[in-house]
Amino acid sequence: MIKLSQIFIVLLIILMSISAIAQETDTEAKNKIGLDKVLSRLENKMSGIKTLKTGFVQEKELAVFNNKIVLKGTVYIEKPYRLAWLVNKPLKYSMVMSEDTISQWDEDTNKVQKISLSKNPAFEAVIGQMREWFSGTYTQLMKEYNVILLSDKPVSLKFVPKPASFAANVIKSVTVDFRKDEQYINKILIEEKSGDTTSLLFVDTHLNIPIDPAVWRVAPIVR
Amino acid sequence: MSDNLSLKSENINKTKKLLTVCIFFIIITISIAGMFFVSFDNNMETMLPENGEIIRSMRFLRESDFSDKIILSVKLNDSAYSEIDLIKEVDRLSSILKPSFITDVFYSVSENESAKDLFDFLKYLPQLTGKGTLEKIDSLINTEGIKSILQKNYRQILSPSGMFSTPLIRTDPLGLKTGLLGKLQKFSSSTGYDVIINNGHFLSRDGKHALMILKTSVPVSDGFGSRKLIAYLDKKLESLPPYISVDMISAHLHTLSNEDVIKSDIKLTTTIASIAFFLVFLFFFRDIKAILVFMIPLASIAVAISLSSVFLDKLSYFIIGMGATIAGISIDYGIHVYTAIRCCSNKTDAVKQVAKPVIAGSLTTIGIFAAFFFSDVSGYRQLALFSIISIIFSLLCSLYFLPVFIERKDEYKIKGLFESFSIFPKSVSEKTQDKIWIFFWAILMITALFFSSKTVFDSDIKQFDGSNPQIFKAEESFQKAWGGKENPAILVVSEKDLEKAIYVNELIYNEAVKKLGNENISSFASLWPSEKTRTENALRWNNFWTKEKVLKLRKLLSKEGKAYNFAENAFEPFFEHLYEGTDVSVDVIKNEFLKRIKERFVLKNEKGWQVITFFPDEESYITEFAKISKAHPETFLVSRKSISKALSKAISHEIIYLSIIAALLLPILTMILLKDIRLTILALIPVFIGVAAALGVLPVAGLALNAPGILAVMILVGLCSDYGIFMVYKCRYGHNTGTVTAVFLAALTTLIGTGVLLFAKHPLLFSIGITLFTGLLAGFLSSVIAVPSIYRLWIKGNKGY
Repeated sequence: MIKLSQIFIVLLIILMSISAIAQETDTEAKNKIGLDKVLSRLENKMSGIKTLKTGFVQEKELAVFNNKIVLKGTVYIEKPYRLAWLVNKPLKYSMVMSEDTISQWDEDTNKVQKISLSKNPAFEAVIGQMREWFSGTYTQLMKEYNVILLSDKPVSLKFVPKPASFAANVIKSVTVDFRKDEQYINKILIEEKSGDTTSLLFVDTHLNIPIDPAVWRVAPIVR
Repeated sequence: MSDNLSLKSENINKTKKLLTVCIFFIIITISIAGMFFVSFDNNMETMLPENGEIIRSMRFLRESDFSDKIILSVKLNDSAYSEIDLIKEVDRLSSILKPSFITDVFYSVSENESAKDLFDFLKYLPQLTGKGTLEKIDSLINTEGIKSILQKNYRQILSPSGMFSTPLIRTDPLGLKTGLLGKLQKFSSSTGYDVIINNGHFLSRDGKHALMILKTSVPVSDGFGSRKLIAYLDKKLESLPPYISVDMISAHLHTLSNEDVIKSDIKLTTTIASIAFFLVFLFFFRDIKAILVFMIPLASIAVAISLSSVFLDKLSYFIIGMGATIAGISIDYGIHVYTAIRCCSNKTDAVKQVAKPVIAGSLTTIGIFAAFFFSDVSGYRQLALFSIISIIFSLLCSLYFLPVFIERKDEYKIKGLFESFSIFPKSVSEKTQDKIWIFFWAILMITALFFSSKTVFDSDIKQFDGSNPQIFKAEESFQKAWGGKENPAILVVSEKDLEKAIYVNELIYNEAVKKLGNENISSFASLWPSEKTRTENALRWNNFWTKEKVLKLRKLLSKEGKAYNFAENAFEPFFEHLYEGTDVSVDVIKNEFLKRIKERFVLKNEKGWQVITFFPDEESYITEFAKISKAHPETFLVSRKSISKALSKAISHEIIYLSIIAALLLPILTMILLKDIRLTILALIPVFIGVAAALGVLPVAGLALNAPGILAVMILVGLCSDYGIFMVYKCRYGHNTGTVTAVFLAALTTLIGTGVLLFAKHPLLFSIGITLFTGLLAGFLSSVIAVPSIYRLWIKGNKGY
């Protein structure tokens, strides 16, 4: 009788664990379907964006600085390749990215530096990521990141770099929160392995508006 | 009594014939047996001028392991599939490629691991920092200098790429590693291909191609192994799904394809030639013994191979190939003797009469090939020996062996067909006919000269590549997907000891940078100097970073950093690792990153080590590097452009030299044999027009003259001079030996032999075919038409026409 009860208990444990595994697999599969649906929905919506102008507030909490640094500026995007990153505060800095070149200017040096992306693969890898985050091509990012759906409404996604990826050296995770209308990103939070964090809040976003061609020209200011 | 004498004489003749036949059979049998003991080689160096620079460069390119790599460009053909599918297939393909055929597959890097390797490599900064850089740093360790450095770092950290550069800045606030990264940048962009690393794989910019570099143990020169290797790869590639295709780039493919094209050409041309020769035999000879005429060249090749090997260590396959063609000339002597015997009423008279022009013709041909003994190319000297032996043996066979078997027969009717051939009606006088022929001949000559003036010489070795068009198409498609720059020139430092080779390479690099800048020079020395230099650098580094200097820098960074909000310990990682990497004895080659770079620049061979430097294959660079190389005897330059130029120069020099010797020898020998200046000029008329036509047809066919083409022209000169001499003898002495018939048959057989090459797909065979065929046709026609006409109009006392 004792033996029978023992067998019964063992069987029960086995059945429970099978059921738990099945449930887990089931949840994972559901999550995967849910994530795919969300990503496809987001990409669909963001693919309609041809141009974009948005203000941003970037907060950097880095060990290298005593205090949090807050940067303010504007981002312009013209698909498929153009991206301008203009910082107004606390320093003046601009970076314009075309298909193969990056032009940078800063107030202190008042010099324009041009970098060929094809000749600088490391720089290209870094900047390429930035382009992908901003333009919403998340399926591309899935090659290097595992994605977790944190919230469906409003959408919040957590990207964790795959161990062999380039980003895994520095980034712990990237959390992307979308606007309620899912037209564009609301906030990006980057957590680094070192403990440093960078958040990027997008404000005053305008989609598909004409962009002044002067935005794409980087030139030294004549003082 | 007279019956007895006649019987005795007949018996003596029979014994003589038997003896002759025995001697020839013994010689031929010994030669055939001897062929099994001859050493052959297929080294193309035999065909190169004995110019140390050219041979060394060619040897380097052959022996260096560049040619033992196979590149696969894996292409995604269907837009329904993504980069992820492409990468998946590349991973799968790499997993099924195994030794012994494929020893290594380089198709991906772990970006994370690579970055770690890279940062690990940067640790060795103290060993890699020279005196100049330290002096520059010293000048920056003051308030102003540190202010400007911090400002730059601040900007950098706040830039979009700051997230990735911050860890580096913390360990390197002075930007020392940035310089080193710049050098590394140059290394990665100097691979010649436009590659981006995506998901750890080498992808093209459009994301539709993936690059795989396979290392194989099968050398390109191993034809049998190459065939197995390519079959192995083809089988593995068959497993790829339909949306994936592969462009394979490999020297093995060229070797095999050339072999296949030549084999198929040989099959085709042999079939055509066999049918043509059978028809010639059926229509003109109709005599089973005529087969002996065709056997003479074969026997003479066997004799030439065996006898040449007595004087030479190894015989080149190429020389045997060319020599066999030359031996084909000697069939003409047999044809002349055969025709003479069958045309003449008396066999002995026929042989005596035909012997003179046959000997004269063979002597002029031997004279031309004797000119090759003066050549700088060892292959040409081999060719001279081989050709002369085969011509002499053919001559002996034709004059002594052949007459034993051939008898006069009444039914040999073709003589009448050619000896009295005319296209003009009988009402047109002979003089008018001659004038008309000379007029047409002059037009032909002027046209040939006009076009031959447009002939250009091409020394590019690529022209001999007759690979399948699909291979070139795949290479074109590869270039389109991956870019790919022009092949750089190479400076090679060759030493027994690796460290010594690296040190000399470093000295050369430093000299070159002084003169040419470092922009376009890709050298291992720029990244990893010799142990001697690294030891000196490490010692200098330790001496430079005294406690006082470190303290001063700490204070300055702390004080000036406040203005930029930098934390007190912002640059602590720099000070923590300041003296790391000063130990030169550590085996850094474990660093995968450095190992990959070293593989590109340091080669091992049986003699020792070769360290190579890449630079643009341009005149200015070549000149400067040549000067530097001169001061270092253990170095040499390898420039494809220079090889091409040097080859062109050497071959042009060779051509001029040999042509002058041949041009002098040919008229002198002809003059000695004919003993008349006008007859000599007449005998050379077919040579002039033959050469002019051969050279003239090349630009018309869109071809250029090349080294084998020159050999073809030399053969042409030998053949056409024979035709000229025979026709002059015919005109001068009027012997009834069926000369026109013999010249026709000789030309016909040679034209068949060369004409079939016009069906060849291989460019080398085709160019030789078109040169010989056109030249021979022009030479033959002018010998049977122009020579008799000019003779009749110009030289009195005509006996034959």
